[in-house]
Amino acid sequence: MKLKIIGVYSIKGGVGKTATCVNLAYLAAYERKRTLLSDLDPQGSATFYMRVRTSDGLKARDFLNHPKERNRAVKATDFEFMDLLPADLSYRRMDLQLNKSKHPKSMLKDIYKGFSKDYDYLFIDCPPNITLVSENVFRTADILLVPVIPTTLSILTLENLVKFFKDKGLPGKKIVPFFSMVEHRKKMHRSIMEECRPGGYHFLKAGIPYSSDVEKMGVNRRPVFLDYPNSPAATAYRELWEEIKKS
Amino acid sequence: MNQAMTFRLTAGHDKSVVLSGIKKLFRLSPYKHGKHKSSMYDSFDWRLYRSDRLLLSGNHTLIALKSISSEDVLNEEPVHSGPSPRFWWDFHGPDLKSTLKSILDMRALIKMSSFEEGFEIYSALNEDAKTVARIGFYKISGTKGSSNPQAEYIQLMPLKGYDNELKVIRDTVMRLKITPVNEHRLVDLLRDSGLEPGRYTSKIDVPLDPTEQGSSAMKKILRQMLNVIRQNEDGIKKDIDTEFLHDFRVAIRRTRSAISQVPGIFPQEDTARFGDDFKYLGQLSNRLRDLDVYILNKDHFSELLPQELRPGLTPLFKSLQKERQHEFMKFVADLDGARCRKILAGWEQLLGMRCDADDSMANAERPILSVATEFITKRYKKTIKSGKQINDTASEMSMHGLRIQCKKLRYLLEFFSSLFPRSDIDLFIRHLKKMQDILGEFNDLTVQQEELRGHLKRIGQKGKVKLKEAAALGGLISVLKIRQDDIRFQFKAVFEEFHNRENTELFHKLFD
Repeated sequence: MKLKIIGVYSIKGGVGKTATCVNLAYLAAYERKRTLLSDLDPQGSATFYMRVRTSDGLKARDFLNHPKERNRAVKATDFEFMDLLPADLSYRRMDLQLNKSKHPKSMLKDIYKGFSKDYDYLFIDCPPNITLVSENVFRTADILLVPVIPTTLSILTLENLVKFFKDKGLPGKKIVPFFSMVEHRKKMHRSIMEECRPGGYHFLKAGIPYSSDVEKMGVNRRPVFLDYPNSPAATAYRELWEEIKKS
Repeated sequence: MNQAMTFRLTAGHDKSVVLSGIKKLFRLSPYKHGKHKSSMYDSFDWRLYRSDRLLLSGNHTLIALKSISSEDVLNEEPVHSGPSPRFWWDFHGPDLKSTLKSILDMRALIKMSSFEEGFEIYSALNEDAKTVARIGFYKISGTKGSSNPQAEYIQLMPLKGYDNELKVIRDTVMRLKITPVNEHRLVDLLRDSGLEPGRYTSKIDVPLDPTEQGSSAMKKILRQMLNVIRQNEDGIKKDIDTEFLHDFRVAIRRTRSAISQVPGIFPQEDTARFGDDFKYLGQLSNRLRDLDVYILNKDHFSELLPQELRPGLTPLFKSLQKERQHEFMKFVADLDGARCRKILAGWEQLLGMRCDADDSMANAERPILSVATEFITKRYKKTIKSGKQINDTASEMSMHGLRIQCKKLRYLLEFFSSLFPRSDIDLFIRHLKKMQDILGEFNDLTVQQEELRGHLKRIGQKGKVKLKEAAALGGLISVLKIRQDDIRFQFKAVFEEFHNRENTELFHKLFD
């Protein structure tokens, strides 16, 4: 099958972006699809979840310029069919490196193309904020998954992202938002979700509930399915994955 | 990345010894354990094994194509109900299909062996409790015919990005003096049951000593051919695929060619008798092989025609298939019959016998190198002579005559190739092969047109000829004729390339 690239992105931090990336990549690998998770966030949370040290990662300069080093940096995770390209602290300066290159806006696209023979899915955990790195991911990804907490501020950031796509002439269809960290007992969450669903945005049906089981991924350092396979969060991720595969 | 490494455990070097050795380096955590049954499939001539591939099917689960050296699953698909797949086209997944097509071509899969495997796999963990390698213990029993070999193995499985950790584990196991196995564990166990993966070959591969007596050298070559004949009989009778008959026929043709082209090895009456006998053996399956080739090329013929004419070929292939069934039954009966058995038994006896030389055996005691160069040179001269007579209007007969000369020359070169510098003789054979390919295609096109004309005539006589069928046959005859004229036209240049200065010098360098 042709490599499918899924970026997971949010302008805001703390919205469940990394948990989504790790859990969905796990589900793809569980279906025996060759999956690579590329952690571009210099904080390295996805790398941490996979029990790999960011010090094992490769420098931004090598990541961008040395295909051999890049391939050598790939590590098998503890799960069959799932590999990781770990993050490194130096990724916080990746914008500068990109700026020096000939094609600053499409360099990552060319880089990830190099993995198309070895993998069926590529998940990219993007750094928050709109930077040159994220713009590269926007151009690379077939789908840009955007977790949105059902609050007014989060909706505003989504609007900003849509506007950015429009301004840059990027295909807005790539943006696939879904609700994250949903607390159904909160009236505001419920009302925002109702407002947005029929509105201009095509939110995925499945929403990920706020859950301490997901938070505990930081302690257990593995996907939620292994410790809480029947939790509401695990079920919600599975539903989300089914929808993404169809889209 | 490192490759998986396999070791065979023996008494005194058991699992506990290995585990306690590794535990000094890494924490081990149980990963998976269980028991499963699987079967290994390959073609008769081990095409998958030779391409570093292993096709394994678990009971009612998956059929997987793995790399032997890395243990990676390359393609897999669920086992479908019904009979197990035999040819590449019986599979479902497009990737698996195209990989198998490129390796197996027209060869069928045979179940080589079945295994029952108990396994315990451990993860080696680093200080972050991250898995850095996997260590598997396997207790396998195989079944192949009546033999029932058993063995225990340990396998070190690399994980991408953790080469150093695997190396440390490997060194520990090596220090325990456990024997590494340079094969996949299932292949290693297969050898215990007496099967030799990769052993069968239909090619001539007889190392000869230049000073060896002619009779001894020729008998070695002929014994190898007899071996190929014998090994393919069973597959022919079971009708596993078309290539059993093909290899069988080539071995018979080579035998016949050796008998007639290198005379003076056996007493004259034996030479005459077996010359006739092998001619008879070859002729028995001429029609059957032709039919096999037509049927194998069904898609190719169909693609030569425009879409709307293609259905018109269906009755032709139906009738060919029916005839093939009849020919097959007839041939198997002949093969099992008294005459065939007597010929092959008599031949086997002659090859095993020491004959005292008489006047008719002029080449029996000569060194094989001088016998080989003499007959190769003779045949080469004849080939060049008949090649020179071919022009743009050459008859099918004269093209056919040259094809036979080339074939005879090719057989001699292959029989004796071990006597000459490898790269030179291979190069000369390659040049000859180029000419043979074009002559072969020309001949196929001649025979195919005759077949189609014959079929057209037969359905005409029966008076039930259908317009679509006749159009398809007519269309095909025309396409084949155009291609044939094209080849006749090209031939001169191909022959000139074979007969150019460089290749002529190569010939003299080899055989003068």
